[in-house]
Amino acid sequence: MNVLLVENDLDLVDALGRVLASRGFKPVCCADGHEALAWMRKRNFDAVILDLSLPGLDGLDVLQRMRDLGLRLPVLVVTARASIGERVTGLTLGADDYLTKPFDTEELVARLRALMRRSQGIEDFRCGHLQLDMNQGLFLRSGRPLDIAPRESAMLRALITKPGRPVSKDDLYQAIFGDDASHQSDAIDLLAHRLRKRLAGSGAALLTMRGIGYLLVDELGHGSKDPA
Amino acid sequence: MTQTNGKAAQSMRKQLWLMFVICTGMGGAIGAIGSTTPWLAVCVALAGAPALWWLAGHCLRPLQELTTTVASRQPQETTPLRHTPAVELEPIVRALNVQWQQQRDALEQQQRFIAEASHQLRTPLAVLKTQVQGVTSGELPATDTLPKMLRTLDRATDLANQLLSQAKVEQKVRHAQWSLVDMHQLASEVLVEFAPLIARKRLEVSLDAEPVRLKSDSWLIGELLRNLLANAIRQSAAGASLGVVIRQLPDEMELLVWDNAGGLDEAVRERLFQPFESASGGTGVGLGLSICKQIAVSMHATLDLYNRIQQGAVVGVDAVVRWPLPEHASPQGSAIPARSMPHVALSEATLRMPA
Repeated sequence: MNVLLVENDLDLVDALGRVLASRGFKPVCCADGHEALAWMRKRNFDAVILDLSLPGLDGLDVLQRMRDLGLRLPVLVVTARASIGERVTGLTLGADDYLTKPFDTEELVARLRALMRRSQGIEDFRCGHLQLDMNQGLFLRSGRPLDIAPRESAMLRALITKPGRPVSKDDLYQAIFGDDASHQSDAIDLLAHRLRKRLAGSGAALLTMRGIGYLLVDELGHGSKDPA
Repeated sequence: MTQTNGKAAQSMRKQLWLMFVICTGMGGAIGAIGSTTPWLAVCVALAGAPALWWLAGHCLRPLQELTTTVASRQPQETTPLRHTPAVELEPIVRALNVQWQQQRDALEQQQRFIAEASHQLRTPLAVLKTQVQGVTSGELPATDTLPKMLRTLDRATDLANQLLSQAKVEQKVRHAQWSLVDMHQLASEVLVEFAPLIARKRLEVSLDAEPVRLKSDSWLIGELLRNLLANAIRQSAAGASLGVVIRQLPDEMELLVWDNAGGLDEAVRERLFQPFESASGGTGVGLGLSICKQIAVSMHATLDLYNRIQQGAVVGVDAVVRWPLPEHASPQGSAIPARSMPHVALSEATLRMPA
């Protein structure tokens, strides 16, 4: 797994490079935007970790030029700039994910792996001991098929494919019943109640955010970092 | 104050009256003489002009003196003017002194904040350095110390974030971008932002929001809500419930963030709005509520903390922000006293009293 680490803080490069190497990645480090583009032209990387504040060529410019050159490899932007505006700009210009400094190395590695899997066409959604097998369209619990009704499955699918984010009742209704408007709005609550029982002991829990929606929680502690 | 203003006005009226009398007298004399002997009128006018020139100079001299004094001051000089060149200039000198006093207070407040911020920021760094040196020298066991170092880092990170937030709030308050803000949507977005933290503590969260639109700056209101929510989440035990209520009252709009994390001591309640003050046993860096207060004041809103009483016991805190309606407030205003409003029924008959 070849990873290009573009970061101009040498201490961070040293520490992060070692962490990545110990996790089975083969990192190539550079501290300059122009150098990063040169590396991308001459070698195939599986992913790029890109800092935005770079000397010479700004990280957002690197991102723009990469995409202009037709380089489609996944990019994880890592930056101390945390404003929503820049986050949106970064994602608009083609970043695949965004982490704010200081970050948790576990989270960085997890997100990097998820990006690489996605870029290889492997959609892999997990929560606790649950896994969604996209090829067969069924849920596995500790590797075995989960006994679950179709509507509960549709609800769980809508939740597991939005990791760390609550899903509104309207979106859940659409995912379960489609355009069929004949069901009562409390049908979602009843399904949630049944799904909760079904998920007992699976390492995944269903949290109600009244007025917002439902949130699937990984009880094994693979959650993302708190907001700043 | 009024007496001095009266004196100044009286003195100014005397001077103006004198000039009026002289000008009128000269004008009349020149007119009368000019009708019979024009050359004599010209002579009178030429002879009177220097007298008028001298009189005008005499009247304007104190003003010139004051102008020179003010112009010669350094930009950072804020000491009050002790000497007033003329009694009629006293209101101007007093207004200048008030302005400089405010500038001096603001500077002192800024210096206190920087000193406190430096102390607050250096402390976790000092702790971190001690911990690292302890581990590298073998005096501290790595297995115990490394998790503590992570907590120290988190503390320093929180502080840095809040200091940056404070700076951004100060800038935004001066240059707010006013628009109609959909409060329900804003609250939903902020709660979604906090979803990972809510999930981690398994909190039961609710949003009860009426469809209210408020003319304000969406970033500032978002920051206000983020800070109140972060406080409520930080204080709450795992599995506890908390929520956000937004409602429109006859002449106010109310935003309420409630928790079930026990109450506040009366002794600390007002102090919590000061920078770097946190409730006893609190883990925050103590800037959140002072930022909230600053934002509220800039919007003509009030921010109060109440202990919520249920069945005779204090169960939690309600942080209540109230905006006066109609929403024609502009930034840089001052807080206005809000009428006491009945409490929204959260779960059962509830009383509210100042903490």
